[in-house]
Amino acid sequence: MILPAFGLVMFMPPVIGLFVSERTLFGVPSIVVYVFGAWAALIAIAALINRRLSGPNWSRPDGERPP
Amino acid sequence: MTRTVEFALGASLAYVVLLFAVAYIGDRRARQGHVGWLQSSVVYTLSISIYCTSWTFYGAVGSAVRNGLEFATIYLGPTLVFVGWWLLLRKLVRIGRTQRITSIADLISSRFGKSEVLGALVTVIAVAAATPYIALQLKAVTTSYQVIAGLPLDETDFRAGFWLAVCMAVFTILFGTRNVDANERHHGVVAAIALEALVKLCALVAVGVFVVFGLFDGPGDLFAHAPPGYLQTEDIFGPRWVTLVVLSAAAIVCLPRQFQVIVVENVNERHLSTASWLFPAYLFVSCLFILPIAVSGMTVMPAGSDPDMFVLTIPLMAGKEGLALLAFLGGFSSATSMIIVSSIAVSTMVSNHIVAPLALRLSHGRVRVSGDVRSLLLVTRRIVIAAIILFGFLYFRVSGQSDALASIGLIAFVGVAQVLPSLIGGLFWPQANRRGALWGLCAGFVLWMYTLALPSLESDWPITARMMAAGPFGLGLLRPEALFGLEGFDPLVHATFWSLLANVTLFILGSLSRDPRPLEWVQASQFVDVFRGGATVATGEAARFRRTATSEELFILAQRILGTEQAQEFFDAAARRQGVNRGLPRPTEDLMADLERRLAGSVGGASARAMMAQVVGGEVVSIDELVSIADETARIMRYSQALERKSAELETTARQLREANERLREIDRQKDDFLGQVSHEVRTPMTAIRSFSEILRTSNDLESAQARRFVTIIHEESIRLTRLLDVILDLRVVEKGEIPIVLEPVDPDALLDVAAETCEGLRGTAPVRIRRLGRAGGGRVEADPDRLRQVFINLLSNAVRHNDKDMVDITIDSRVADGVFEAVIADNGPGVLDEHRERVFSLFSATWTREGQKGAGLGLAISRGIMRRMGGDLTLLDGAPGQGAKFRVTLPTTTEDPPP
Repeated sequence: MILPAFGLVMFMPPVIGLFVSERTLFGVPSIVVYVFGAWAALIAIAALINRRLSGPNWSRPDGERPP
Repeated sequence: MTRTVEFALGASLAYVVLLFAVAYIGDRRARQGHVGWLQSSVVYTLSISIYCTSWTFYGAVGSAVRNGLEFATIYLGPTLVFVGWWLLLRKLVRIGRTQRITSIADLISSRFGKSEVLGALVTVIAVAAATPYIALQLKAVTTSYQVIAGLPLDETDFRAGFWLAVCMAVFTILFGTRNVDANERHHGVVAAIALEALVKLCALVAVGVFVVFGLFDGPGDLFAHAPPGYLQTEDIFGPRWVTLVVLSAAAIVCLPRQFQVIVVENVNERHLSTASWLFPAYLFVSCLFILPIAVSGMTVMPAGSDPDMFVLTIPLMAGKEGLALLAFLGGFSSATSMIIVSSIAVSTMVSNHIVAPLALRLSHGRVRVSGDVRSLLLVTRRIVIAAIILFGFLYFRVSGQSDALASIGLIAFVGVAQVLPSLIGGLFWPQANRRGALWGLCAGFVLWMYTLALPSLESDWPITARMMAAGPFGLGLLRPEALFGLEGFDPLVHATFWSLLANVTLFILGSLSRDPRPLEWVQASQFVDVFRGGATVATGEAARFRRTATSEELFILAQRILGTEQAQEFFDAAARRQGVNRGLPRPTEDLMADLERRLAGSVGGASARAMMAQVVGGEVVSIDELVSIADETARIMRYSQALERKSAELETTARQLREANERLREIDRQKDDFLGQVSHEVRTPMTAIRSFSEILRTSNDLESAQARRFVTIIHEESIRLTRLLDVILDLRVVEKGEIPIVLEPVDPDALLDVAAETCEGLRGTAPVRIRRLGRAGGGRVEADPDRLRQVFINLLSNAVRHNDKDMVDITIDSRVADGVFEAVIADNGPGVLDEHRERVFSLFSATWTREGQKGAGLGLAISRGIMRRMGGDLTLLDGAPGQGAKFRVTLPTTTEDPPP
């Protein structure tokens, strides 16, 4: 629930503006590393949450055809 | 024609054939019931990725060249929506399934009272946004074809675009309009676009990897070649950045084709949870290589080359024709899949929300034939698909040379974003109503056309150029790109701001300006509360409409829309549910509601309702019924918890009151018993005293011996009376805790022995035998010896007195354990009945003593009071009835020696 809000803050000014600098990581500009790093982190967390959710306590909606 | 051209043509033809084959196989497998992999969550996720059109495939690199990281916003918005799927998407999908929603226009129209006008309006917006978008795809394919074929770019070759349009129209008509029930899944289409999603991802990644590791020496080397200052500016993270993230987030839900694949084609809500991370991951991988390709394009390619075609031109430049072909197919895939799904979605909307209502009005009173509506809808959809694609082509033909197409993608985003306020408001705000949605949509649509779509035509239309500069009729305040003097903003930000502001404001004002109509209330409660038993509300709601129709009429209606076969199936199933063996089912409200939902899956909610209304005649929802709906859904939800809590409290209080009342009754009864007992006890000696004193007073001739005897009796009786009163007095003293008790270390065994000796002489009719079993062995307790002895004697005398046996047998057992002295006195008498166990210790326990009439029933109560005052206790042990009573005396031991 908190994930999109967290992502919103991370990708919105002014937070994202903090990472614009001359510095580089392995030759890649820091802003690029930040954007893609945060993005990947968001996906990873969503995947983890999904794994936890799809445990046994997931209730099947009615009328669902078995896969 | 060069070899490359032939090869490219051949490859794309082969690819199209492959698509047809995949779609055909997918469709056939689904028909045979082998849905298997077609319904997996991976296929679902891949089909969502039609979000990445050729605009992504080619345009993102161009955008990255021009504006650096800005291209990422288009993918960050959807990422945020998907990782937060629990909030919005889940509700959308659930509603789509329960209400058999066919398109986003259907959703909006169903939510706001099944309004035909709203459905038509959303459809118009969708068509206005989709047509240029399709043109953009055709342009991309044409340009890319020219690039790979080595044709000069100055002259646009429209043939490729035309044949592509024809191919796509045929494909879509073949596989997209097989069934009139738009809510059913297009398995063939989904299979084909899933394949295309894979192709475009592979192509992009392949080009990216080639660029990073083939042309350059890893990412570090690549970014070292970037132009100075590239990616170093903070400027892009301004209002435009925010706007783009918001727009793309809106687009992933509101674009007709996205709604189609996310909501309509969804078969299982669980797939959504997989897509919540898999789809962002797909976007992530797609974007990973955009920047490297852009950077390398700026470095390697000659100045002035089109950055939108870098994906294609870089491999060509490097002489990798195979890779270039793969890239071409990737772009081709992204264009075709978008065209296919867009035209399906838009055709459904047009046929359900524009053609069907019109046809209904026109055909009023004509002969109705089985399946006529069905065939009308199917034909309409086919025509609309062809028309939309054709329009796209014409648009491309007309404006093909201008650069206007490049910004079409974003313009379309702003257009469909106008649906967002009504959508969100409709899902979460029960008060939202039709008027608000209508006002908001109209205002947003008009402002969008005026501030964004119109300026985009600037170069083609001379009037617009003048209007742009000076405003309509010379009114500078109304200039499309600086409305009300708001200048200095990017046109996109400007348009988004004004259109959405007006949209949201009017939506809210319109919704507040009047109360929702009955039908709007019903639909609102079903949409907003879909997770809180929306289904039960639905059945409850059905019973509130007063509708009458015969089964025959309903059956004819179903036949017209569903076709004979399916209508028969539906009615057979309904009849089975009702337990009707032969013929048509009874026209119950449930049947009508079911049928309407089923029809809505084909023609959309508004049309289904209108058709039902034609057959079943007037339906009325009275205000009273409406109030009760509102009551049941809203109020009960809100107050049920509070009520539950209250009733639990009341229950507890009532129970406590009942218990207290019971206790009071019991005490009252004891008091009555006691009074009766006491007056009896007092009365007996008093009678004796009175009668003897009367004899003494009246007879003067009594012998002195006899008089002395009488006086003795009077004396004895008064002593007995005094003793009785003493006991009662004693009892009151114990009750108040005022018995003087002097504690000193004593040997309890010795006191037991004394008490036993005293009671040996108490024999009445039966002989008494007292046996000592265990002994405490010199343990000392802190006690008042006189009082303790009194307790023992009381217990022993009770045992003797309340005994009905010929031989009274009493055992005394004492011991010290864990610092506690314990003495158990047991007899062989009748014991204590279970119901009296609690009462024997209460004051005035007359019942227990009444039979023998040997006391006021105060002994045990006083004894227990004494024991407790000394820090010990007196309890009645459990025992089988008839086995005699067992009393236990406990006292804490002490180590002090008794006084000498």
